[in-house]
Amino acid sequence: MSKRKHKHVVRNKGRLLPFIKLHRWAGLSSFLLLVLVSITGIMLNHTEELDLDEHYINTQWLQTWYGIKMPEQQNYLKIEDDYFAQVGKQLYFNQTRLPDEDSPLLGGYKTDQFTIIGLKNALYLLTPDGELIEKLDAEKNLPVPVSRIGLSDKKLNAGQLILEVDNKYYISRDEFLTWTEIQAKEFYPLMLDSPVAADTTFYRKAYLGNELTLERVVLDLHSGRLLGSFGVLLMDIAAIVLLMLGVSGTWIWSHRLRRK
Amino acid sequence: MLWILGDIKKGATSILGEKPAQLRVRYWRKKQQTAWILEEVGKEKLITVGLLVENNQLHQIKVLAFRESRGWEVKEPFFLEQFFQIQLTPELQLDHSIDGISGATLSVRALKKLARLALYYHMQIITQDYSSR
Repeated sequence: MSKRKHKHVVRNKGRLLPFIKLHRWAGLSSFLLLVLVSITGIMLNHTEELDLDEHYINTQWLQTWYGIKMPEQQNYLKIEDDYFAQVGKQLYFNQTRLPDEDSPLLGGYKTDQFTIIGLKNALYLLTPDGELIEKLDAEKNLPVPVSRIGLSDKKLNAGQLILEVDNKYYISRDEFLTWTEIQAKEFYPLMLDSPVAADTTFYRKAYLGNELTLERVVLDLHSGRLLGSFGVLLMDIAAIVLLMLGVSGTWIWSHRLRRK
Repeated sequence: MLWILGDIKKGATSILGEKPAQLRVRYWRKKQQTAWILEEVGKEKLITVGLLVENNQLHQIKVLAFRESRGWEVKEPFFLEQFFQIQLTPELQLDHSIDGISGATLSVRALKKLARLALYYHMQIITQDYSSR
């Protein structure tokens, strides 16, 4: 190599050195974030195959981090040996989940044929074993909003179900297909139990465990939102650094090519 | 009112791939015509569908409520027309294939299940009719 060319290379290398250092440190510092974004990105691309939206996170600190807590609406009802629980809009017969219902639980009772659970806007008809026969609502001729449910007799098996709607009373004589307004002479309202009476541990776990999907966590990891606005900013910076890496890498590479 | 018990429950379970959500279903009947309002989950939410069956053939199908965020194309006539005069095979399958819609796979699957279910329930009503004569 001629002296002149050697001088040129040394001068060029000296000029490149800060860029090479910057490129190296930027690459190293954003590597972890790049790994995170890549893995979560691949996962999000295959959400359906991986069933990300069907897996729920049960980790307590993560639920707390997301501010997931038990809802205000918690109603419990004990009928003989069975429990009905309403946590938020989730309804349970013992430990079996029933179709969701937002309106509050009012009461219920059991006959030889049916278990009946009354809510403000729906009536759940179940077998004595808790298998859902039908969920009745306004679309199925149920008079709503029900303010109270009760019986025409003190004895559960002797009494007929009465719904109180806007100070009027309704009764069904055809297994809850149609409802007729009546003048109720006797009305014995059915009441709820206090939460203390029920073992709330299961319902707490069931409710909290059905709120936070893996998809949401992966998505928030990908965007940085898991750490709030700081995380988003961090991901933005990482994205800019990645862009700069591309530019600086190309620049260094082209300089080296010219040098050769 | 059709009670989904015994063999009917078994048939409905084989169509749905799981136990039917409810043990009784309301329907409307006029001679050989029956009308059904059935529900099935698409991806996450229930799709409510109205179906009219006549002489064991599906004559009309309409999506009454679509609550999913994706797959709404199943409401469109170009898709629903495929179900016209469709029948049930002895294996409880539809007698001709239904073209899918990309991005609406689960909604299409739900509608096919409901079509099979309505045809199956209709058959049970007619059979019960003949056996009670």
